[in-house]
Amino acid sequence: MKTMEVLIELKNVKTYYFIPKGLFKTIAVRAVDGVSLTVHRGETVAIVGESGSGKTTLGKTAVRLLEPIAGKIIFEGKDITHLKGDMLWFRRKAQMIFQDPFTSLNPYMTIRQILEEPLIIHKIGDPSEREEIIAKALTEVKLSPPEEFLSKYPHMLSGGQRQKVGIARALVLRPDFIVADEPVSMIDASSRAEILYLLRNIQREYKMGIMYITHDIATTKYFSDNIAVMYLGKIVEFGPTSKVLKNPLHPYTRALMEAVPDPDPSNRFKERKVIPGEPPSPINPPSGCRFHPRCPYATERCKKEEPKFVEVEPDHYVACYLYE
Amino acid sequence: MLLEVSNLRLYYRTIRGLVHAVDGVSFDLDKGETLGLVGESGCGKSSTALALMRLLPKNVAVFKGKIILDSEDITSLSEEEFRARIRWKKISMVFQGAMNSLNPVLKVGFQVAEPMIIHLNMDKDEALKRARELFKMVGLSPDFVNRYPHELSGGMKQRVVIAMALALNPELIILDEPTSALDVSIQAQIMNLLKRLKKKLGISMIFITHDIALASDLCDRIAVMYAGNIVELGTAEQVLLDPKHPYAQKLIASVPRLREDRVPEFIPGAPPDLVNPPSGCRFHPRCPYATERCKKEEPPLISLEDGRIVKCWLYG
Ligand SMILES: Nc1ncnc2c1ncn2[C@@H]1O[C@H](COP(=O)(O)OP(=O)(O)O)[C@@H](O)[C@H]1O
Ligand code: SF4
Ligand SMILES: [Mg+2]
Repeated sequence: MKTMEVLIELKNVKTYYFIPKGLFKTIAVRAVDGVSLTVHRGETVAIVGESGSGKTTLGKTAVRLLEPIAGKIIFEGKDITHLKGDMLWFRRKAQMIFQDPFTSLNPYMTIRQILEEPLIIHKIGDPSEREEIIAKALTEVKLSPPEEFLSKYPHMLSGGQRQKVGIARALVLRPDFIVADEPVSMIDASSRAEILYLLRNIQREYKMGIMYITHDIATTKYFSDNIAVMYLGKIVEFGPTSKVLKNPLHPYTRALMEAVPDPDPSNRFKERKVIPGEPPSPINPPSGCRFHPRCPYATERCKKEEPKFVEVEPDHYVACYLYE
Repeated sequence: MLLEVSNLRLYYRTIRGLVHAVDGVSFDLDKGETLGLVGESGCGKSSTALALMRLLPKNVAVFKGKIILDSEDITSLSEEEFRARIRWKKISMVFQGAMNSLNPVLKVGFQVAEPMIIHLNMDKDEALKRARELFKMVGLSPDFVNRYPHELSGGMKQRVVIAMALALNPELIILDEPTSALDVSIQAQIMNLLKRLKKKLGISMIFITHDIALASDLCDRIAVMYAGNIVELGTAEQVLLDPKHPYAQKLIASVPRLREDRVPEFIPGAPPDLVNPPSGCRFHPRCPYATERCKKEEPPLISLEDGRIVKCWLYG
């Protein structure tokens, strides 16, 4: 892992949303609140957490659809933290795939137009070259023969097919980095693996780096190399997927895993150990360890001081006083 | 036997033609038992539920079959009788997405009390008192009766909706994807609640989900649906550990398992258009075992020796 080429590095990144309150005040939603993370070329890092943990904000910040208020983002050695007008080269290299294939595709455009648009924006190829790139991308996402799909509109496709178009749209620019934000959560369980295999195979072929955002920790087992578990704007555990899933350290990671059923008929005879309550608001996150109000092991110290990120076994990190 | 459904059909009229949403569905349910209705979206799960509640959209073209509840044929009841005696009182339902359709301007306690005022002629105070009890039963503080929906989290709203479905002491409660909008840790809390209610109240349940792993958390028996048909029906043990129908096998193989190393598979292709379902076995275009016969003749419901039912020529 260590010898792989770094693609993107986030250093203590903070991204807040500011919402006006009354005439003179604004309140800050601390959606991402000090995240450091590296994605290497050819690697998939899963960002796991529940809604409100800041996963999407983190992903949008990494592809600079959002600008962080603090920290640094280095992409292929260049500081892109505050890129503004001079961003086109980066837009070409970093793409995002969205959760909802129903709203993320323009309903008035044909599949051909949807896939050609980014090529035109980035002035790639002449019309016949573009046609070729589009046909190749459709074949890569298994929408073949391409001619059958080119003149269709999104509503004529199934959810899985639309998400494949979303992936093809990200692919036509041959990006180095893809943020896939819950790419399968709105798709039937029986088709999820197909989309995830597709992403993985394309990634291997082109050596892309992927940030795979998901609330479903079970899929990370088969489709990621590293896992970062997020809770209320912070990464609470990080490590190689196999290590994190075999030996989950943070009480929140354990709770996430405990919550997911395997199809085992004995499940119905026992209750799951669940963590109580729901995540608090990132407007006013709890003091100390942000997980302490829901943690079965919380001590006085957890309420007051924030635990540091420590390496418990090689490459496996956690922020929790149980491991100090 | 609490419920016996035989040969239920529900077709919708659309500009594209007749949608065969439920096409000959049969199953039964014991008292205190939970049946899972599992399948990909569009396979007819919600339509089956709406047919049981007799809450049919205006464009229904065909509604046929027999539904026997407590030894009474409720299909022959008039709408008046059905409303007076069956719907909500004996069979109630938590609709898909219900937690987002709570009335935003009414206190949630009143929304739970309202059906008791209307159907049981309770006075308001009495109904509110019972609403507080129901809140306690679903794990909400009784004082939350005075809150408005926007003052509750998603998990709490889902509990309110479950309390509503329990208000008239039904014998059967249908839960249509009750956790699909919730985060995993909240989903686990709600599943624990349903387990507790099942045990404490001895109530029968039909649990609808597209996630067969989730069905294992509650269901005693599981019916796998595909394109308007039940293709396999058996105990949770039979269906989850040793599925027989090729579709059920594929569905279970597609689950990414956290505690086992079994690489998830997927089912190539998409479910068929129910306006024009495939001839013969509806699964044949996606089935690895399909033969010429499967393309032409519809397989019957076949009872296996172990008691389960499979709709597939491999067993005929
Ligand atoms: N009111 C309606 N009019 C026309 N078609 C409908 C209507 N409701 C559902 N359908 C169609 O009926 C089929 C079964 O749908 P549904 O019962 O909602 O399945 P599920 O709950 O398994 O997703 C689908 O093809 C769906 O599009
Ligand atoms: S009847 Fe034929 S096509 Fe249908 S599931 Fe069985 S083997 Fe496959
Ligand atoms: Mg449904």
